[in-house]
Amino acid sequence: MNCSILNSQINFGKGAKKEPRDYVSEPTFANKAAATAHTVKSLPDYAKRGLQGDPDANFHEFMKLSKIPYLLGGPGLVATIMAGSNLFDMKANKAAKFNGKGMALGCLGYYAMSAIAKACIDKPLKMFRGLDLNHPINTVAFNRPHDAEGHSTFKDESHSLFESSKFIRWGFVSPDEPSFNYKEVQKKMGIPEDANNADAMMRPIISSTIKRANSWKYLTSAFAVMLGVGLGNQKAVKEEFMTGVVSNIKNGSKPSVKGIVNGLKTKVAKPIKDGFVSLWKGSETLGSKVTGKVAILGFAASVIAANISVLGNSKVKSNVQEKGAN
Amino acid sequence: MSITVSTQTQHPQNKVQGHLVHQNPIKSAGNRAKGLVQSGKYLADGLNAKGDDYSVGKINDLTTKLGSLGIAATLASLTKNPVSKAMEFTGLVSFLTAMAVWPKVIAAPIKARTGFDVNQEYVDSYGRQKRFFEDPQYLPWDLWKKEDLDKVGDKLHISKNIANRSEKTQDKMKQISTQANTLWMLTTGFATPLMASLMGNYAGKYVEKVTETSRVQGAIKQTGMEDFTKANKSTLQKIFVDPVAKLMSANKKAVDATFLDKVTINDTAKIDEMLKNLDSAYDAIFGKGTDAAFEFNKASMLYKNVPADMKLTQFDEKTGMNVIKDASGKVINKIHTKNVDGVSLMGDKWKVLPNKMADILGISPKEYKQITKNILNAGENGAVNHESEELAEILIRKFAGAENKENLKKALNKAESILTPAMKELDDASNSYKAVLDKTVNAMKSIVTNDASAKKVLDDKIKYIGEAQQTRLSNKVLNTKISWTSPIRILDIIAKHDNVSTVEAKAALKKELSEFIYGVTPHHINNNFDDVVKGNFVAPAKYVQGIKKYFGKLSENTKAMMSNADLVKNIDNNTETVAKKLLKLINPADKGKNFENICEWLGKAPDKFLTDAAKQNGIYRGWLKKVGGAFTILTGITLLATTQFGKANKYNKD
Repeated sequence: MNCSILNSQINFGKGAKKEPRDYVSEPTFANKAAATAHTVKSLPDYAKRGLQGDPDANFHEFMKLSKIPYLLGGPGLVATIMAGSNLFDMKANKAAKFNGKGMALGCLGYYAMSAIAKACIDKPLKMFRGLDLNHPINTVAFNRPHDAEGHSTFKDESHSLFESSKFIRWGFVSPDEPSFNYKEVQKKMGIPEDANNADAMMRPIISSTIKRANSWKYLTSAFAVMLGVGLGNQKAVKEEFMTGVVSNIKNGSKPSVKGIVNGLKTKVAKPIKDGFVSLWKGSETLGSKVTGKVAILGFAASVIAANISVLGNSKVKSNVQEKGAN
Repeated sequence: MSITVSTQTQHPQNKVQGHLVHQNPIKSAGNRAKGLVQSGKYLADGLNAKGDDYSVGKINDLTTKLGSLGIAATLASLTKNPVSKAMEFTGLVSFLTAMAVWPKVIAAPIKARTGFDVNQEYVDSYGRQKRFFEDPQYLPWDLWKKEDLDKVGDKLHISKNIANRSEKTQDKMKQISTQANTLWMLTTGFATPLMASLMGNYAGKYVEKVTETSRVQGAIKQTGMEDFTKANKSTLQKIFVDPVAKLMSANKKAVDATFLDKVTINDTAKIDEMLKNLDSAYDAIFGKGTDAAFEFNKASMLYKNVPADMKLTQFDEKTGMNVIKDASGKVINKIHTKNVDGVSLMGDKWKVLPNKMADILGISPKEYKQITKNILNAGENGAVNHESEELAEILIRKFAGAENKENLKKALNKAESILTPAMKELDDASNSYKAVLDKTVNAMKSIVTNDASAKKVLDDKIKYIGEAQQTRLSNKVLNTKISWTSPIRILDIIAKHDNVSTVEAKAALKKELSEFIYGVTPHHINNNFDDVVKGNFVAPAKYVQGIKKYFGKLSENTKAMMSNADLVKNIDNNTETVAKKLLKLINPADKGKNFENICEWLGKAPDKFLTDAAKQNGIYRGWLKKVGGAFTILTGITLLATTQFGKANKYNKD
């Protein structure tokens, strides 16, 4: 059930019967996408109120605004390199564009691998423990009262239910909450079906899993971005990735299905594969033989270790409580 | 389901323990370092599910830096050039510094106006250091002393007569800090890359200087030479560049070059080693050549162990490079000899000086590029490319005739002022090389032989070392139009034709000028420079004298305008070339050969470094304009915005 429009339609003031409330949604792709879209749409509002020093501006808004520099920084770097082009020198123009492409691909690699690193930990956790660390929750943040009766406006904020390891809305982590599949989580965590203190067993596991998973995500990202940038700067990738595609489209050549599939193979998949190979092998310098392997192995090892650690510690040990003990 | 309680500002229930942090930049840098170590501990805790939101969040500080370091290392490993490698780490430092500095750029004008720092930090009762204004809904005001709040209130012009002055001040501070935080988030995405690029750009120059100096010092050590350059260095260089460079070259072992007492013609290995050492000394001082043909021939002649890829190679006339061809004659690989001019005592002068000289002519890089076009395609019998005619036209307009005499004089004087210190350096460099040369010559004195063919082999090697080196150097300094002195030659040609009032006179000037610009070919060596160039004045350690002799032949008009009389004094010392010196020892009867191939060398430039220099200058200026301009605009807008902070608005009624 998606209640996103409910709150905004509620009237209140004298005689209001309903009040806005927090709610969780099912952690489907669509719901998460909608939550992200809501946040993105709110950013201009956060910025506007922030710049005017709204006393109701809060930490959540500040944190969401930080997405802006995160996403601008990469293209910003590329732009400063491309600033060296467009001058009357063909050779330098070509060089700037080539280097700019390398930088752009490196940034693309950075963003992509950052996201992949997080997914490599979140997805197995969801698959094997039923726990989605990005479970969307919509909270209602009330502003200061604006009249003598204490009425206040409010705003909807998209959070993740498991944002914090300490302050979790346990009310939503219950069998009564339709969007949270409590029974599935209980089963996958190895908590006995008929245990009467299932909450007491589940909650510490969830708390500690959040801490572990987040720590592993940070660590894995360090290797992941090394891998992403290194890959994007491999000669094979710089030369072949999506080369000529834009100009082909500009020339008006119609893409057929066969053409697109072929294009994906030769312009996307092959360069990436070649890039991996050359990153692993390294080139003439001694350093490159090491850094490539460190990035690839480090990333792989970190993902594996993360999953072993997170999954291994998110299941109840079998000797904790015997079934049917009287 | 419970209803959320208002999340407006809450004052902590209990009195908050802790204190504000007041630190100077050095201490705070130390704190940052401690913070990173602490983050490592938090990481270990977090992996074991210990800690809390704060400590887990702090892990990000460490891992982003580790990840960035990893990126820098990966990118550095993709390039062989040591300067590029160093630049990756410079870029890393620049980026992290820019990220840290930008919020301070925002905070500084605010502090000046309001008396408080929006980046103020505090330490809580658990010893955790946090930004005070991070969360506007949780501000532990208990940590502030009343006097400090009053001072801020004064600066914010909050009336002293109201009862809740502290609260009003705090509200204003909250407003301003929220505004500052938001501005920070909106601008750092642009500011950080711009600032980092600019910082990296300037830091890069320092890094380049240090890296190259260290390589030079290493090279000098390895040829057993003394470092003659100390006297010439600026104080800044001695303090900031040399110590670091010394550290970086510490792993190169100083070598005692082999100078033997008795050498026979059969000691080919030892002779080769001495010549090789001489060649290395030359390279260490004046820089390696980038002429593919030269390098290839040198390798085959001189070094027993020709690099493997060179063994397969041939010099290809068409491309002007060393190439590897397959059986059918198709080129399958080109071998690029890199420009390693930077790695020598004189090295960067080959780039820097022409840059400055190009400025003197006051023409754009594009136009200057045209001067060096068509170097290899000089036409027969005076054929002249129309672009050089156009350029000659431009120069004539700028410098020719009585009305432009002042400009001409200024340009000449500027050229002198640039050239004179460079010549001093060249002189010192030549002296360093001379020391090695003399030792080699003494060692060779003992060679005795009657074997004609063996002598021929040795002759050829010496010829290559001696003549080719000198010619290369004199090319850079003197002979071709891409040399240091070519702008002066251009201005000299114009000065000579001081009367351009008639059509014929103007045409004659234009012809001479455009011929010079187009190409110095066997047909165009004129203006009395023939004997100077072809003759034997260009001895090692006497290059400067050669230049002076050359300048002695400039026209009287030009000489009259030059300010440095010493520079244009006629010098008639007849000094010997390296080759002649050595050859004389071996063939006492041989009177020494003239530079037979000098014209060949004149027509060819070892590298188009001047073209590159001019290009780089133009590109660099364009880049700097764009990036610097963008950053200045952004900073301006930001500072302007901060002046509006704290004013009454829809959300904050005074």
